[in-house]
Amino acid sequence: MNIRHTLIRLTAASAALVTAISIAACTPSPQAASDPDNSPVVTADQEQRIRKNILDTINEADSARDTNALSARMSGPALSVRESQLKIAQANNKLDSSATIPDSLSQSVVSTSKSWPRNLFAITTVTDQQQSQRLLVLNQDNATSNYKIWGLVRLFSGVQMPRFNVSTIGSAQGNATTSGLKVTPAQAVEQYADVLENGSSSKYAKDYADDAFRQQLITLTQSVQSAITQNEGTQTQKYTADTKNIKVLHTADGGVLAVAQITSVWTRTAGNNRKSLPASESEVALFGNAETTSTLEVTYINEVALYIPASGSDTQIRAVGAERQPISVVAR
Amino acid sequence: MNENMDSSSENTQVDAGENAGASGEFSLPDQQSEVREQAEGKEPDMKKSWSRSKVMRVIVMPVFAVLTVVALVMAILNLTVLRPAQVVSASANTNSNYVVVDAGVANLVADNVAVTATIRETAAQRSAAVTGDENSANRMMCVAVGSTTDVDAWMRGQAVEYTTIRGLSSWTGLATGTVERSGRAVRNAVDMSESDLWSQSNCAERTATLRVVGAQANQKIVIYSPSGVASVRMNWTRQNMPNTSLPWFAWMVVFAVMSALSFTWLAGEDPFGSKRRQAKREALRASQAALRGDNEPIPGVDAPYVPYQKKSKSGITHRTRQGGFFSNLFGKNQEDRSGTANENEEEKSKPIVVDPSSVNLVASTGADTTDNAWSPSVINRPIAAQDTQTNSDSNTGSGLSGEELLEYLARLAIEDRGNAENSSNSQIMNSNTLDSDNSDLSKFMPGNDENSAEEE
Repeated sequence: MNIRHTLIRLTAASAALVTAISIAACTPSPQAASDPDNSPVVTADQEQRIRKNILDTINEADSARDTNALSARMSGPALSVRESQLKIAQANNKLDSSATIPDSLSQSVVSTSKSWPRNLFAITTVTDQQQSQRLLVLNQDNATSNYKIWGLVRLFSGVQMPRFNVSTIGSAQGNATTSGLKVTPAQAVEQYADVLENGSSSKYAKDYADDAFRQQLITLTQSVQSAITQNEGTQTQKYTADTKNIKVLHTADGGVLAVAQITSVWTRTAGNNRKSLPASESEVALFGNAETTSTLEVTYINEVALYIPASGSDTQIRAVGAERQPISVVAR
Repeated sequence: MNENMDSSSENTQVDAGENAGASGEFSLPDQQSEVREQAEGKEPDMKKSWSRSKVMRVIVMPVFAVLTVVALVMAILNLTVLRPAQVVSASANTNSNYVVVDAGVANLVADNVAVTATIRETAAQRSAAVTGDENSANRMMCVAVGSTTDVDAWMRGQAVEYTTIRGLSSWTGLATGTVERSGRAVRNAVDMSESDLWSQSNCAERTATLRVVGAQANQKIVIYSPSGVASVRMNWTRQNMPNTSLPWFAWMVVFAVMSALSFTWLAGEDPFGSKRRQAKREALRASQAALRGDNEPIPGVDAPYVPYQKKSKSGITHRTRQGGFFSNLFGKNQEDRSGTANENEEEKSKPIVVDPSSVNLVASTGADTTDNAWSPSVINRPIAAQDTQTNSDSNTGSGLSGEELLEYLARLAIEDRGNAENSSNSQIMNSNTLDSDNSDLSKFMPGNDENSAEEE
């Protein structure tokens, strides 16, 4: 062994010692990471807090019958429907049970969109009165605004809902022109409006599974028709779909659940110089003390939730929930 | 230099080993000079007394011992006084309404962090403040955490200049920066305290603290107060404490082992066995020489021994190098060997030159006066040249075998056949003995001497 090797080893050891001390004194540097792709935009706790804040605002407005307070946490067709419900409640001193929104959550469907607007679907439990579940459609227009309930539909009793990814995974968000489906959401809403207006004679009827909402409308129309016929009157219903503002979230099987607004105008004309009167308590409350004529024009907002399968699927397009509310009654 | 010291003691390694083993004293680089000096009654030169063993025990071992103690002390300190703190607290003073903690800072030290922010107010304002008064909204402080996308979108909507916290300037200070105002503010924006963007938020009057558990690298923290943010403090609570004493303990063990080795094994006479192997080679050479009676080099014994050394592509190693720039460093390896061994080494290193024209072929065969070039004794001549006459006459020291001689003669015959036809018979000498002058090769042509006589 020689002295030189020994001195070299001593020097190396000293250098390591100094290096270790120096490294120990350095502070760590930040290791920033970008947001992961296709991740849910809200956490479960965050969604619960959002929904609670919304429902608190709505409940306060319901209690006060204050339609102006609704706009802080409601928008779109849901706001129009709720305003009508509150107006009716003011007149009747009773809020319709269809306006009840359960606090408990059955399932949430969270968007993974990094841009705005963003959608959230919340499926509640049944109401205390065992009414059907509600589908809440929450929408956030931009980063500096809050989520608002844009759509609110009652799911059909016993309906087979499509499957979604769990909220911790998130679901892709679509829009009116989303492709890869049997038809685009815009086409589906327009075709369904035609089916609602023309029934089984619609050329699209075979593409859409029968549902409770269509049956309910058919029943209502037939009953009114029998009465009008006796009076030699006429009735017409015109359905117009809003094909631009559609809220879409993808299902786990490649399809989408699309919620849209369909406005319908029901014109009833009484014959034999009779007066056409409001046909329900709601219409009466909305009509108020206005003077009746032979023609009554009632405008309804219909909210429908349609399941659109992926292209190539043998499954029919079907409605899973709907809401129908008169918003104006006008004598013509 | 040490190698020279080692090599110079090769001849007397047995004595040196005995001295070292008996008394543990150091061995001298030049044993002969010391013996001479002692015989003359002179004191040995102390400057020549620093052997490897002494260096190891007097210098190296104490150094490692000191390092061992230092490492032990540092390890103990890192377990006690210098133990890393469980909570790392760093703060910074700011001067803006908005402060944004950059992504990667929230989980910089640990995943659990508490962010505390305090509003900017004067002493008079602080004394006059009453909770819930008309200025309570201005004294509100909010701290919220969101994803990078959401926080960036929120700040774009505010269109204000704000302060960023980019990391640690020291273990107690936060590094800050400023982002200039850009874009246009969004109208009717909700209050930060009511925004749905944040996964967590906390608002309070004057000072607000937000505790984040499991902070992610993509999360940012937004701090806001209408009165302005005066200071921000971040406290990271470590769950897994770093063990800073373990490296010191490891070094302590290493130094302790090196210290012990320096005092014992490395200080020994022959720690790596080089001298033992050299002695073994010497003994084997001596025994072989006794059996063979000559000093011929013994393959594998006299060949240069290169232990633990990777063979170079050129086949030359520093132990085999006989010349070159660094030859003097290793020249002493050869100087102390026996003279016979040196001669053999020199002989072996020199190329063997064979000059056929200088070979006394007949003399090397051992033929007598009655033999000629074609005699069986000449043809069947053995390869090894054992005749002293051959060694003295020939300057090559080597002879030719009988078959080689025959081939050589045949070749000469072919080459000189053309000349032989033109030469006269008078030039052919009728002699049975060859003179020592071997330059005239014509005497070896076929048909000469007896053959030529027969033809005639």
